[in-house]
Amino acid sequence: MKNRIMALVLAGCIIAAGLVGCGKKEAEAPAKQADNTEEAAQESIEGGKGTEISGSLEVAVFSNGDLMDQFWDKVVAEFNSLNPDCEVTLIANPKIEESMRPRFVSDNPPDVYYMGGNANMDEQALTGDRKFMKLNDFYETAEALGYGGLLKDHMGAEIFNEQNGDIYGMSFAYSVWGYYYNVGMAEEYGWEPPVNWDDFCELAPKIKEQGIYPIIHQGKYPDYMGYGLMQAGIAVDNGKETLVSMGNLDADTYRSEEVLKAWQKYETIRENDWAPPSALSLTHTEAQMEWLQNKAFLIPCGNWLEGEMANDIPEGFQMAFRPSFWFDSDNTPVYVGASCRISIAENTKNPEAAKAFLQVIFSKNITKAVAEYGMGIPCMNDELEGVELPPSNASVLQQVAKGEVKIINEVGGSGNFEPYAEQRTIINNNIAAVLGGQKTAEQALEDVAKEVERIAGDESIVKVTIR
Amino acid sequence: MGGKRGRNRRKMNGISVLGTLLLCLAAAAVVMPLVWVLLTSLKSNQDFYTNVWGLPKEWMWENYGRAWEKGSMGSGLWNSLLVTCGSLLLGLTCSSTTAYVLSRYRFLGRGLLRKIYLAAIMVPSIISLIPQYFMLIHLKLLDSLPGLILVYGLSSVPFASFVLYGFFETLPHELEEAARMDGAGYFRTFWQIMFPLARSGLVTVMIINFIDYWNEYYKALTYLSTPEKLTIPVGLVIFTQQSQYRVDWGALMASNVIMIIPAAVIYCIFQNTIQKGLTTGAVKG
Amino acid sequence: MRKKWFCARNGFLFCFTVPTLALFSVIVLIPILQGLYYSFFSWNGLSSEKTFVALENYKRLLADPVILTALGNDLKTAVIRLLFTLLLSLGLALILTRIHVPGNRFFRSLLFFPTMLSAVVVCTVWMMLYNPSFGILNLLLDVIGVPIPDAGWLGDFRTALYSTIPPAVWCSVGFYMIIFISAIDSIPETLFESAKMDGVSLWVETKDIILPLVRPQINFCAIYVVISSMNGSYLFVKLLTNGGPNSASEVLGTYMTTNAFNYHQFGYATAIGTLILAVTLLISGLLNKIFRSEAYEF
Repeated sequence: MKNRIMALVLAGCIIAAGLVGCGKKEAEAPAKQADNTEEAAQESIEGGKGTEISGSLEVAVFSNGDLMDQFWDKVVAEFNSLNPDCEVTLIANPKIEESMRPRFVSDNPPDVYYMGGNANMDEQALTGDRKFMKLNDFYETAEALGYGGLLKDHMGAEIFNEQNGDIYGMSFAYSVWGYYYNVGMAEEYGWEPPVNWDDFCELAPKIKEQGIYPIIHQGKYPDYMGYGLMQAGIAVDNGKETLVSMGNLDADTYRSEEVLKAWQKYETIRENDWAPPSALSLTHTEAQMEWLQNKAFLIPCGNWLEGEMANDIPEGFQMAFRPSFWFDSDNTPVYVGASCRISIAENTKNPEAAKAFLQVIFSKNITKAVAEYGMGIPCMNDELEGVELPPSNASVLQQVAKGEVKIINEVGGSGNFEPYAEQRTIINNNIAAVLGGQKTAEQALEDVAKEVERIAGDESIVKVTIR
Repeated sequence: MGGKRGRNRRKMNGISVLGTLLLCLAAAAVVMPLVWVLLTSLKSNQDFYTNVWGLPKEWMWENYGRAWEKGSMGSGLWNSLLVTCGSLLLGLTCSSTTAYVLSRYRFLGRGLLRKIYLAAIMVPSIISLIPQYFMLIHLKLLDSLPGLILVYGLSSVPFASFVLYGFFETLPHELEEAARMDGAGYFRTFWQIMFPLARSGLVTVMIINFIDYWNEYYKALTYLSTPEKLTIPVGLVIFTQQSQYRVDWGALMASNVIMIIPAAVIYCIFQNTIQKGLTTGAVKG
Repeated sequence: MRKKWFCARNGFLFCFTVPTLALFSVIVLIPILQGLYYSFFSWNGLSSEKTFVALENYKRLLADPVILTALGNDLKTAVIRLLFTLLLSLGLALILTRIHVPGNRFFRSLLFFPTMLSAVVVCTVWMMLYNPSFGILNLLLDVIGVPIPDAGWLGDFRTALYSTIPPAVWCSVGFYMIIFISAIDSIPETLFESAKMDGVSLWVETKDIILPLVRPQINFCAIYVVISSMNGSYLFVKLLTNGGPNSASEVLGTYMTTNAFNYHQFGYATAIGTLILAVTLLISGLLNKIFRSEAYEF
C-alpha cells in the first residue's frame, strides 16, 4: 500500500512538472507564429512561381533543434505560400541519416534530402549508387526567385556534390573553419591574436604565465584541430593542390616534408603543455564550454560557435573569429569551407515539386533566413541589407572583402578534402595519438599513409576525384 | 515477505557492522548518481557549471516542459506503453507455451527445436537489423507499432523459453496425472495448473522483458519513422543529440528523469511481486 | 479411444509449438540467416547490387589488425565484467541473506533499481561522473589519493576501455544479486542449523555449503553476463568513448557497426558479427564445462 502511494506521488510529480513547464512554453509560441505568417504573406508576393505544383512532397533534413527547426519550418511555409496545392511533410531530427538510410536501401526515399551536420558519410555511398537525381538541368535553367534572372547568375559560391560533371547535390550555405579567441582576455593582457605559427609560439608562453592555457580543443573530435587549423595551414604554405592530392589518396603527399612539418606542430603543443591534457576526453560542447569559462585563450571551430552556444555565453563575454595560424610563410591566410548539400532522390515521386522546393531554398527570402537563423554564409550573392548576420559570419565576409583572407572549398567529395570515412577515421585517430603522446608525428603519418594506400587499393570502396 | 521465515542469521556484531557498511556504500553508489541527475534536471545551465553538486539555486521546472515537448514525451509514453504491453503479451504467450511443451513432452523434432532457440540467444542483433527491415516491408509492417510488437515479442522467445524451461521442469509430474484423471484436457492442464505454478518464473521473465522493451532504442529508431509513432527511448536519444549541440543539460537530465519515472513507478507497484517471484524457486540453470 | 487421444495430444503439441515457431522463423530466424548470408558478399548496405565474394570477408578478418585489438578488448571486458559482477552480486547476496543487517528489504529494493534503467541513461550519468572538470568520481578519488589520468578516464588510451566496465557492472549487479538471494534463500534451513551447531565460521559456511548449492545459478549468471557483454558492450563503448582514443577501446561490436554504417561494408560487418557469435558460443561452452552443472541441460 505504501508503495502504491509512493508510485502515485511520483507519477503525479512528473505530470505536474510537465504541465507547469508546458504552460509557460505554449504562451510564447502562438505569438511568434503570428509574426512569421504575416511576414511570409507580405514577402511572398514577389517572385511567385506557378501554382501547377501539386501532390505531396517529403522533405527529410538534419536539424539539431530550435533555430534549425525554425529555419526549416520557415522554408516549408514559404514553399506552401507559393505552391498551396502541394502538401509537404517535413522530417527533421539529428538522427536523420540513420532513419533515412533504410529507406534509401528499400528504394522508398524521401523526395528531398539534406544530411547536414557531421553526416557526410552516407553521401558518397548514395551518390556512387546513383540514388540522387542529376541536377544539371535544374542548375542551368532554374529561375532565381526574388532576384530576377537565372539562379546560377546569382550564386556566389558554387559548392556542389559533383562527379564527372554531374551535379548530385547543391549547397545553399557554407561555414568556414578557423579559430575563436577571447577578446576580453586579449584586451586585458594586451595579447594580439596570432596570425601565423611564429606569432603563436611567441604568444603561448606569455599566456601560460597567467595560468591560462593558450589553446583548448575538442579532443573527442580531432577534426576540429585538423580542419580548423591544420588543413588551412597546409593550404597557406603549400597551396590547395596539396590538400587535393591528399584527398585523392596520394600516399606520397602524406609522407612529404611539408605535411610532416604541419603534423609536428601537434607535438610542439603537447611538449610545451599548451593545451590541457584533459581536452582529449571532451566533446565539442564540453570543450567549448570550458573555453567560455575562460580556461583557454583560443579554440578551433567553425564560425557557428555563437549560434551553437548561444544559451551559454556568459554575460559580457566577447569573442572574435580569425583564420588558422598553422603556417610558417607570409602568404595570405586561408579559410577552409565546410558545407552540406541538399539533394533530390533519384526515385522521387514528385520531381517537379522537389525542384520547386530547391528553388525556394535558393530564393531571396530564404537566403535572408539562412543568414538570420545562423545556417551559415549564404551561397547566393546578396547584399543582405537589413539582415543581421551573426558577428563571426559578418567578420569573415568583411575580411574577404578587404582581401585579408581567401576561402577555399572542396568540390567532388564530402566537402572537407577527406572524402573517405576510413580516411577521416585514421587521420583523426592519429591526430589524437600525437596530441596524446602515443606516437610521434612521423610514426602517425606513416600509419596514415599505409592506410591511405590500403583504401586506394580496396576495390570495394567507391572512389571519387576531388578538386 | 522475509520476516516470517525466521532465517537463522548470524548475529555477530563485527561482521554485521561491516556488512551494513558495505551495503551503505553500495546503496550510496546507486543513489548518488540518480539524485544528482534529479538535481541537475532542475538547474539552469549557468547554475550547472558554477554549482555542479549543490542544490539548484532556482528550481527550473521549465526544463521538464522543454524535455516533454522536444523529446515528444507525450506520444512517446503512449507508444512505449502500447508496444511494451503488446510485446509482453505476445512474448509471454509464445515462450511459456514453447517452454512448457519442450520441458514436459517428448515428440519429434524436440531436440532440434531446443537447439534452435538456444543458439538464437547468442546471436548479436545487429546482424539481422537490415534483413529484418526488409522482412517488415514485405509484410507491410514497417513504421507500425504492431510490427515493432512482433519484433520485440518474438525476439524475446529464445531467452524467455530458456528460463521458463527450467521452471516447468521442476514441477512434479503427479500434478499432471492427477489432472488427467480428473478429465482435464491438455490445454486445461496447462492453463489452470501448470501456468499458475510457474508464476515465479513468469515474473522473472516479465521483468526482464519489460526492461528490454521499454529501453530498446536501436530497432525502434530503424523501424519507425513517423514522429508520432516514436517510442520514448528514440525520442530521448534524439533529444540527447540535440541537447549535446545546445548543451541544455537541465532538459537533458529532465528527459532522463522522465524516462526513469515509469520504470520506477512500475517497480514500486510490482516490487512485492518481483521479490516474491524471484525468491521462490530460484532460476534453475 | 487411443486414436482420439493421439490426435488430441498431437493437436495440442502442434498448437503450442508451430505457430510460435512459424512467427519466430519469419520475423527473427530468417533475417538472422540472411544476415549471416551477407557475410559472403560485398555490399555497401545501400545499393541493390551485391557481389559474391565467398570467403574474402573472412580472409580480411584474419588480416585486419583492428580485429585483434577489438577481440582482445572484448575478452578483457567479458572477463573483468564477469569477475566483478559475480563477486559483487554474490557478496551482496550473502550479506543480505546470512548476516543480520537493518533495512534488509530496503537494500534489496534499492540495489535492484539500476537494472531498470536504459543504457542511454546509465551512460549519460556516468559520462558526467567521469568528467575531468566536474565529475565527482575524480573528487572522491583525489580524497583517497588515487592518481587521475590527465586526459580523463575516458580520454586516456590506457584507461578508456576499463572505464567502460563500471557503468555496465553498476546497472546489472542488482539483477544477479536478486537471483543469488533467491538461490541462497532456497537452501534448506537445516543445513545451516547443523553448520551452526558445528561452530562453523561464516567463511567456511559460504565455501562449503552455499557455493556448491548455488552452482547452477553461478553458471547461469556467468553465461548470461558473457553473452550480454559480447553482444551488448558495444552500446556502452559507443556512448562513452566511441571506440577511442585511437581505437584503444574498440570492441568487435563497435567495429561491426562502424563498418556497416560508416564505411558501408555490410558484408565485412556481418562477417565480424559471425565472429562475435562464434566467440560467444566458445566461451559459453567453456564456462559450461567449468561449472559442470547438469541442470543446464536444455
